[in-house]
Amino acid sequence: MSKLMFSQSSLVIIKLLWSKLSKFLTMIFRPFIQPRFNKQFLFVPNFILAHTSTCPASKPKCGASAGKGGTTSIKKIDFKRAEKSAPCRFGFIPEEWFQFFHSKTGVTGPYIFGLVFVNYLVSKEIYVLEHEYYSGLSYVVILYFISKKMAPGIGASLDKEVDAEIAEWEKGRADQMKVFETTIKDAKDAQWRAEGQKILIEAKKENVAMQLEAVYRERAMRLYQMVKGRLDYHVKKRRTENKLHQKWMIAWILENVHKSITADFQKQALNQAIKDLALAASRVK
Amino acid sequence: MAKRFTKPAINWVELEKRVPPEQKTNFFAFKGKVDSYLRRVLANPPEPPKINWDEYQKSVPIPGLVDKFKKEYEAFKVPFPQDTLTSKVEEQWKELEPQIKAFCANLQKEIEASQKELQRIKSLPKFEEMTMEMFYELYPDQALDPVNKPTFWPHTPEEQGVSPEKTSTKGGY
Repeated sequence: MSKLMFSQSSLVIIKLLWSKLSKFLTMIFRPFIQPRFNKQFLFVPNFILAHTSTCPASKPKCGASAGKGGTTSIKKIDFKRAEKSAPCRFGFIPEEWFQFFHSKTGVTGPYIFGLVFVNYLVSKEIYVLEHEYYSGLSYVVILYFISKKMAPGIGASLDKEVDAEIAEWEKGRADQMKVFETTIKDAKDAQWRAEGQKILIEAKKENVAMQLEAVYRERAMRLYQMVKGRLDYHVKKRRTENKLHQKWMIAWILENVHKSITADFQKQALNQAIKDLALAASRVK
Repeated sequence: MAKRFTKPAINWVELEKRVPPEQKTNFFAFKGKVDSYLRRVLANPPEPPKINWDEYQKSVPIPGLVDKFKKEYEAFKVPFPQDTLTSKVEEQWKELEPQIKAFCANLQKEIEASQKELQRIKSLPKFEEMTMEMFYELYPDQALDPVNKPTFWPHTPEEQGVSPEKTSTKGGY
């Protein structure tokens, strides 16, 4: 019974100590121990789960299908696939681990920690430096130099291939968009042309007005010409008559005059003319 | 009396622009007719010239003729011809206008549908920014689906599985 009591009390004490310790630890490490994936009470500290910005916990759902059938409302998807991997030092140590140390130990903290940890592992022969280690070391050195020399070239050519593939996909989409854009353009064009029929109707009305006006003008001109023609006829008739009268009158007068000139009268006229001439001649001297 | 025609008031350039290419011949035939009407109108002046009555008063011998003509000429009004066709044109327009409106409304529906589709396509993420999961959700028929439809590498149609005929051992070894 006493044993049982003792174990119970010890359990109680242990539980108490543990709760105090955990409270103390959470207080210190609160900013870094944010619960993630807390669906199953999985308590995973933030700093271990680095790169959470590039690999988020919950997958974003696309609103609709991009195929032919999807015309439901689209939710704007803010998530983008990361182009580069998350920042890290030495190529494999995540930057977040350094940030975790930074507030407590400054810039050199993680390096010192790393050195000390590696020293511990090697000196206690937890990490054994055996044959595989030396070949691994050689691989690392060789790979480092290869990557320094040839990585940019290889990277560029691979990027080009990827870009070509992406361009192909985007072209398909651009063609789809172009189809719709041409449809819209043609439809708008047809609408505009259909509205032009109003002008056509007005043109028809104008045609009718033109024809009426033409007839009116023709009628007015005809009237004018008829009246003028009549008046002109009378005027012309009178003038012609007058001319004829004059001509015949002159002819008749002349005829009569010629008839009335007898021989006797002619002799007298001649003598008179000679006398007048002599008179004129004497006056001239 | 209706309004008299004084000058052509139709914007022919605008109308020609609006004519669709397949109806251009009809348009030119119509324009030809219009031009012929215009020529007929312009053959006569809008008002006939004035008659100089005083001159005729002096020259015409028949007494009273000039006065009689003058009186009757000034009293007479040239009849403007009856307008029977404008109402027919108006009727045509009445029939045509709702047809045009319906046509435009249909096209408007099409335009809106196309615009919506265009918006939808524009709102899709760029392929560069899509993850494989997003691609699977947007294009389920084209994405790899190892759970329901597993395929062999390189995931092209011709490399999928060996058909029974090819592996038949009817021919023997």
